[in-house]
Amino acid sequence: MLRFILKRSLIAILTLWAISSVTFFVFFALPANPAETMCGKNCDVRTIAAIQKNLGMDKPLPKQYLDYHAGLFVGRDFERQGREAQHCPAPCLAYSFRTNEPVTSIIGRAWPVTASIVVGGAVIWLTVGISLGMFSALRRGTVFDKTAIAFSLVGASMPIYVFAILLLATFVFGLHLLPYPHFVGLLEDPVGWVKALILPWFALAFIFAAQYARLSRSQMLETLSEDYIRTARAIGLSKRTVHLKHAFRAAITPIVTIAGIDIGGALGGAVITETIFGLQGMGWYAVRAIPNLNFPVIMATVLVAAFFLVAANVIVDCLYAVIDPRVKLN
Amino acid sequence: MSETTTSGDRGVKATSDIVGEMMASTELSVNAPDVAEPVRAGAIVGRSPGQLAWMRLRRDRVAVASAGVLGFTVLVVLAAPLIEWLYGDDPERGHSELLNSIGYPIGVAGGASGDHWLGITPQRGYDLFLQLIFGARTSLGIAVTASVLAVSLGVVVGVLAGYVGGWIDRMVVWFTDFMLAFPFFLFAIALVPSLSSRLADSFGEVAVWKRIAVIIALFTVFGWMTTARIVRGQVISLREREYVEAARAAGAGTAHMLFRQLLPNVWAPILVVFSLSIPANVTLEAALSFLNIGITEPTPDLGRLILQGASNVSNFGLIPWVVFVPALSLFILVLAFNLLGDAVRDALDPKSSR
Repeated sequence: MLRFILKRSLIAILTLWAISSVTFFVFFALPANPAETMCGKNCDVRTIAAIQKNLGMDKPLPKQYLDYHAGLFVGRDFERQGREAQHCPAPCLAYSFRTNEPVTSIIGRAWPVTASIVVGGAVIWLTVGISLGMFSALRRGTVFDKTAIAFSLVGASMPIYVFAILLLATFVFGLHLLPYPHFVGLLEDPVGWVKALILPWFALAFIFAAQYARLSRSQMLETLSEDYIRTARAIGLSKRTVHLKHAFRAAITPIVTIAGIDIGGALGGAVITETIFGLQGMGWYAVRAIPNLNFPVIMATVLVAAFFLVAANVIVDCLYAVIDPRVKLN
Repeated sequence: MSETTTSGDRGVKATSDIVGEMMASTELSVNAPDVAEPVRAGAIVGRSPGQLAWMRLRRDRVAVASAGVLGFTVLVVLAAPLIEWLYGDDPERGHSELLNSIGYPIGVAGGASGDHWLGITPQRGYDLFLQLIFGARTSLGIAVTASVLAVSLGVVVGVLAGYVGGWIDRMVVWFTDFMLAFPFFLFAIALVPSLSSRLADSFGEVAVWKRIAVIIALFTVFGWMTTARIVRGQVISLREREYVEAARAAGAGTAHMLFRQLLPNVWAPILVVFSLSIPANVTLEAALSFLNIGITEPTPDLGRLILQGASNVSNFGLIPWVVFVPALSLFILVLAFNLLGDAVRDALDPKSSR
C-alpha cells in the first residue's frame, strides 16, 4: 500500500512539473508583451524596458524558467529599478504584474472563497444526487423514479451559467428574497456567509446533483441485477441489508472516483459560478488576469488547479483500494 | 453520458470508461432475441447490426422528436442568410433609435414589433431574433467542426496505440493521462485571447475566422482523449479475435486490417462519443463567450447573448426577453442533443439501462 502511494505520488509530481513547464512556456514564451499592455498607448521604449526589468522579463527565457521554479521551493529575489531588491519567500509565485502584490497572498485570499463555494455545493450535490439516484433505482418505474429521471435530464442539459442567471433573476431581482451574493468570512459572520453562498451552492449543486442522480441510478440498477444480490435475497437477508450492505456499497465505488475528480477540479476555481455571482475566488482572478496578460496570476491559477486535479486523482486511487476489495495494488 | 456536457467547471473524464464498458457488449447484443424484428411468415430477412440499430432508433419517440428539433435548428441555421434577407434586417445593425436614453428598448415586451419579432437587445439595439439565429449558427458551426476533428484525432491515436502496441502504446497512454490532468477550462480561457492577439493584423484587428480557428484548434487539442481511450480499448480487445487472426494469417495488409477488419467494429462507440461531444462543445463554446473570451463583438454568439442577458438581469421587465429567450434556446438545443445521444447509445446497445 505504502509503495503504491509513493509511486502514485511520484508520478503525480512529475505530471505537475510537466504541466507547469508547458504552461510556463506557453504563456511566457508567447510574443505578447505584458509591458506594452501595462504601459498603454503613449509609451516610449525606455519605460517599456524599465517595466520589463521590474517584471524580470529582460532575462533569457530558460533563466526565467529556472528562476520561477526555484522560487517555488527556495524563494527568490526580484530586482527593482532604483529600489532595494524584493525578497519573495519560499512558495514564491512571483508578483502580480498589475498590483505588484505577491501572487501567494492573492491565492491566500481567493482560495477560501472558492473552497467555501465548492465544499458547500458538494455536500448538497452528493447527498441529493446520490440519494435521489439510489432511491429511484430501488423504485424503478414509479412516479418518483420518472420525476427523478426528468430532473436529472434537465440538470444534465442545463449549462450552469443559464441556471445561475435564472436563480438570480428569480430570487434576487424578482422576489427580492436574497441579497446579491457578497462574500464574507465564515468566522466573521456565519449567517452572512450562508446568505452569500446559498445561491452559488444551489447553482453548482443542481447541475452536479442531476449528473450524480443519473449515474448512481444506473450504477444501482446494474448492481441490483447481479447474481450475488439474487443470492443475498435468496438466503433470506432483509431488504435493508441487501440494499445497504451489498448493493449500495458496490454501486457507490465508481461514484467516489468521479466525485473526487469533480471536487478536485472545482477547487481550482469554479470559474463560471464565481464570475456570475461576483465572488472573488480563484476563477474570478484568473478571468481578470487574462486581458491584462498578468502571467504570474494566470500561471499560478493553472498550477493550483492542476495541483488539486492531480492530488484528487491520487487520493481517489488510494481510496479505491480501500473501498473496493477487488482492486489489487501493484 | 451527458454528464460531460454541463459545465465548464469540470473536465470530461471518467465517462469514457463507462461508454467503453457499455460498448464492449454491442457486438454480442445485436443477436439477442429481445431485439429481433417481428418475423413475418416465410420472410426472414437478414439485417445488419447497423440496420437493426437504425430501426430501434426510428421507433424511439424521444429520439425522433429530438432529431426533429435538431433537424429544424440545422435547417434554420443553414438558411440564416435567406431568413435575414426575407426578414429585412441585419443581425449586426444597431437600432439606437429604438432605445431610450439609458439604453433599454422602448415599448413593451422588450421592444417586440412586426419588424422585430423578439424585440431588440439593450445597449446595442440588435434584433434579438436574428442575433439568436446567427448566434446559434456560430455556436453550432464551432461545436460540430471541433467534435469532428477531435473524434477523428482520437480515432487515429486510439487505433495507432491499440494496433501497434509496444512502446508507442505506453507513450500514448501516458500522454492521454497527462492531457487529462490539465485544467482544460482555465487553460482555454487563458489561451484563447493570447493566441488570438498573436494573429492580429497590422491594425490590431483579429479576423473572425481566426478567432474561430483558435477555438476549434483548442477544443480539438483538448478533446481527443476520451475517444482515443475508448478506441484503444476496443482495438486491443478485437486484435486477438479469431477473425482478425484469420485475416492476418491470410496475409492481409495493414490498411485492410484497419479499415476492413477493425474499424467497422468500433464505429458504434465512436458514434456515441461523437453525438455526446457536440452538446459538450456547444456548452463549452458558449461558456467561453459568456466570459467574453471566445467570439467577440460584433459576431453574434449564443454565449454572449446569454452574457448580455446576465448583465441586464436587474431590469425585471426585460428578463423574459433578453434572459429567457437565449438561455432557454441554448438549453433546448443541448437537451435535444443529449436525448438524441442517449437514444443512439440505447439503439446501438439495447442492453444498456438508463
